[in-house]
Amino acid sequence: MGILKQKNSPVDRLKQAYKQAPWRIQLQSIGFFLLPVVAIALITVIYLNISAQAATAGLHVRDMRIEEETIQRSVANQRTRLAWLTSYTTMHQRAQSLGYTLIDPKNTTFLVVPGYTGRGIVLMAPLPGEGISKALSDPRYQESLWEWFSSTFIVTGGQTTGGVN
Amino acid sequence: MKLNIFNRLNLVGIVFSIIAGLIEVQLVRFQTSPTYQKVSQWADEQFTYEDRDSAPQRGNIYDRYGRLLAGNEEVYKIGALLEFVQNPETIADTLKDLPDVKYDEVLRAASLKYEKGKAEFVVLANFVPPNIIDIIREMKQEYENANPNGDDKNKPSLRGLVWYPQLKRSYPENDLASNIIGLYYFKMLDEATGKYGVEEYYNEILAGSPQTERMPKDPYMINEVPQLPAGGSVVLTIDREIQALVEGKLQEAIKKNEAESGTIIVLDPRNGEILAMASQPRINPNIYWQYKKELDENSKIPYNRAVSQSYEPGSVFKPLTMAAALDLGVVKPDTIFNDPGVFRYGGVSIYNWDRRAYGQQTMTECLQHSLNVCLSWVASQVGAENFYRYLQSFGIGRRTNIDLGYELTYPLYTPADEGKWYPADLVTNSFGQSLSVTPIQIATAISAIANGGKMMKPHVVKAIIDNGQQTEIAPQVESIPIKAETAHTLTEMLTTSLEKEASSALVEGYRVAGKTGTAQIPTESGYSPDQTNASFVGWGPVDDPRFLVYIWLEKPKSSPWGSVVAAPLFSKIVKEMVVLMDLPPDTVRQNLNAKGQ
Repeated sequence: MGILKQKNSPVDRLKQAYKQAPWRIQLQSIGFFLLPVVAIALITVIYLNISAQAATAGLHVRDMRIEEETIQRSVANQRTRLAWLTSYTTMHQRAQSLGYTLIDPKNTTFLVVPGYTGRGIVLMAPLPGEGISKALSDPRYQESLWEWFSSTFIVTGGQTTGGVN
Repeated sequence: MKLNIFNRLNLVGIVFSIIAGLIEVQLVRFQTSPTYQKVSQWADEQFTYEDRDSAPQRGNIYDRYGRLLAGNEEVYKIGALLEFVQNPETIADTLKDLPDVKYDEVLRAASLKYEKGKAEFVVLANFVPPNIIDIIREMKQEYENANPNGDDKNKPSLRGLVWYPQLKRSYPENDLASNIIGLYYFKMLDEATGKYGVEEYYNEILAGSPQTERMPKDPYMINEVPQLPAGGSVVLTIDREIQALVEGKLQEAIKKNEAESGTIIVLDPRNGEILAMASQPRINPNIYWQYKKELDENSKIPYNRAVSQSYEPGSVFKPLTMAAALDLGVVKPDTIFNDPGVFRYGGVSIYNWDRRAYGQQTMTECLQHSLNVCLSWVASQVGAENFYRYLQSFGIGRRTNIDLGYELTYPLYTPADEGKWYPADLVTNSFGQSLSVTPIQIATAISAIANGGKMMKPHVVKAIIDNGQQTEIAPQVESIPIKAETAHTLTEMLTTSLEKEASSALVEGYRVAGKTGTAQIPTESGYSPDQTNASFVGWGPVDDPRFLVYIWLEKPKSSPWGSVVAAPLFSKIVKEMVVLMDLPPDTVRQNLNAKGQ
């Protein structure tokens, strides 16, 4: 009876021709259900991955902080040990054992060294403002891409054409 | 049947909805309830952050050329985690030979019963050097291999013994410049502080700011890790080589002349920088606890005599009297004074040091022969009001405000101090008697003469390094007590007087100016008949002064005279110091300057 109906109605026959197979519909439904599930799973995985990376980075920062403290302590210790090894008494004894004696001013020859102004105060750290301005004053950090481009290409070209006064 | 299923599903839905609703209500309640907020905050504090009290690394102290004078070295604190201790006897036996450690005390501490929150950790030894820790580490490993986990109580085990690194103050030069540097009571641990000298005066800078660090336990919050800046460091004006030279020469002189003590100051008169400052006795701040007598505040032994002990200076004071007279125009270098051998003023009679009458003397000769009678007359011509005005301008009677702890001063009595000042004081003060000064006061005052009339503020710190930047301390003009012309005239007078006298203070190749001083010492029953303070102050080269050396030897027995014990010491020091300062002889320097120009 159904077969007859199909045969009889062109619409029905058209519907029949384009009707999805039940297994396709089922697969589609599963697909629609799984799509958000997979999306959520994907987001969760990305989130967990990023979170794990952040946590690892955080722990790494903490480890580095401890390492920094250890290094700072070590630097202080090494600096002090070096000072012990080069203390006045040690150096004086070493100089004496090597046969050095303090020179008499009468036996000293003094020379003018152009540009030498004598021993100045030691600089253990940059003077105020000096450290930052030095870094900023480096032209490589100040020029824009255009300036670099023009100085590298256009100016050279300009010079070849005579330039501008 | 369909209806039943629908009803059941609805029922399940309703139940879940109610549960979800209740959860939401509870969440809102948690968010808004003050009690729960408190609980939440407490939980945050307890489980999100860890609070740690941290003291920053103490700053370093350097000499003017960057040589470390005070730094920090790594040492270890040894303790026992009581929960894991298996064999207290082994621990006590291992540590018993360490300094300040006793077997019984360690055994008792390591044998304590573990109680959570009450007895978990005990400190057994402190300030243990790294090489000892290496040995202990090896021993612990060997015992652990032979007796895993310390299970066998009859075998040695160092389980539970732990050590933590920490920094300890260290002075690589030992007692060199210790009277300037001061010391740090590192054994007092959390209560430790700087004492005396730079360590005390600059304690706040060196110590930095102790902070309570909030360390997040949650790794996601680690980006909030606080940074604890180290304490600032200081660069001194002291030159280690000159300091060592001066300390060595002072020690030699004290021994040779059997003096009770001594002080030497070397400063640059152009800017007030102290190049060296030595005094006896000195301590080694690495083992400060062994100097109980010197550090006992009741012992009356000044930590640094240069700033903390006053005395009657005697004749080294005379240049100040002469400076006032020259500056006022009361006398000139060639003004003649007829010395009768005695000068009566204010009810007292003043005699010369040898009680001789010197007859006609120029002012230069008065200084050359150090005539009390002449200088008393000069002071009387200057007048009390002017005389004390000049002395005050030279800084006498007030602190120099040098950047060192415990600077002492003695009041300068003037005619305004009724009952404390008498007319006779004018003449006795003129040659350095009946008044008291510290070595740094007199050296600073005289430096004004060396520096063309400008008195610079003395200081021992040249620069401060803080927050990664070095800030230099600018020299300060303290006062201008006399005109430049007066200063040059007086310098020339004092140079000539040394040269004419063929003083033992002279240095071959260098023109120096100077004045000796021999001061009687006041006692409860008048001035001591046989004890003196011998001193000398000199500077050079006179055409471009680079150094001023002040020497004071207390109660020398070999000779009471400054000209005999202090003047030659000046010459010895300067002869070696000019080499360390790269200072050529005058003629060579003048030729080089001419070529350089």
